[in-house]
Amino acid sequence: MSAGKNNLYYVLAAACVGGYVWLYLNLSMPDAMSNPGVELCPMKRLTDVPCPSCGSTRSVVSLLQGHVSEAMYWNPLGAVLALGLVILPGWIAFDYFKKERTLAAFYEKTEAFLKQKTVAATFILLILLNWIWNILKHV
Amino acid sequence: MDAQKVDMFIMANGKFFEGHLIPQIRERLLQLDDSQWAMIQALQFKDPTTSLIVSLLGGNLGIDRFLIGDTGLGVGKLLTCGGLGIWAIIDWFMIMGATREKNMIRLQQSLY
Repeated sequence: MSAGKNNLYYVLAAACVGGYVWLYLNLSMPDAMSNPGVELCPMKRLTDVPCPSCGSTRSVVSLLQGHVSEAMYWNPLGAVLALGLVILPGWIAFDYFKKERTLAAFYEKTEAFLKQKTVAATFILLILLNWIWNILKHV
Repeated sequence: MDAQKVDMFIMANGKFFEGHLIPQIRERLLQLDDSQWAMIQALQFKDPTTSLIVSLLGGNLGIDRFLIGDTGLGVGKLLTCGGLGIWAIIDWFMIMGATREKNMIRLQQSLY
């Protein structure tokens, strides 16, 4: 499962399918899945401390219901995930039918961009801040 | 390159690569010019055991993937709580192989 030639597309497609199934489960049975319901994050289960992306399901669900500020409160990363869920399936399909590799090229460019020291440091800082906020608000 | 030098390299660095690739690496190194020995010696590889430890401890946050240079997959893992915890567990078993694969890519990049 490395980012090899075609593996990237499989991994991303699987992630999208998983994301949509998870979202569907959360939307169709909100009571069963809500707190304290199914909690898949192993970190929160084991240590009771939320991880940096805990709350993103609630964030995406709120976003779907139109509560933008609520979504931002639960976890700003939810917006990033929602964007990915919207864009990626179309992009994968585009590359598949056009037999191009635009997504893979974009992925490699993004990876190179993120590996720059200053960029990486900025993102690590943001994630840490988000994590601290997550712990403080007991997501 | 000298067979003795190549065998020394294999002995010191064999654990960083997949077993079935070792003969191929050996063959390739034997064809190399002696001047490249210093460069090959200076290459740094990631230890699969270290990445396994990191995966067990920080796999949820994707730190293992960042460590071996799979930044994109690392971000994916970080944003999804380690793929809802499932990907993190899968990676406990995959990460050593992935590390060896990355090491092989690193060696190939410097050879060709």
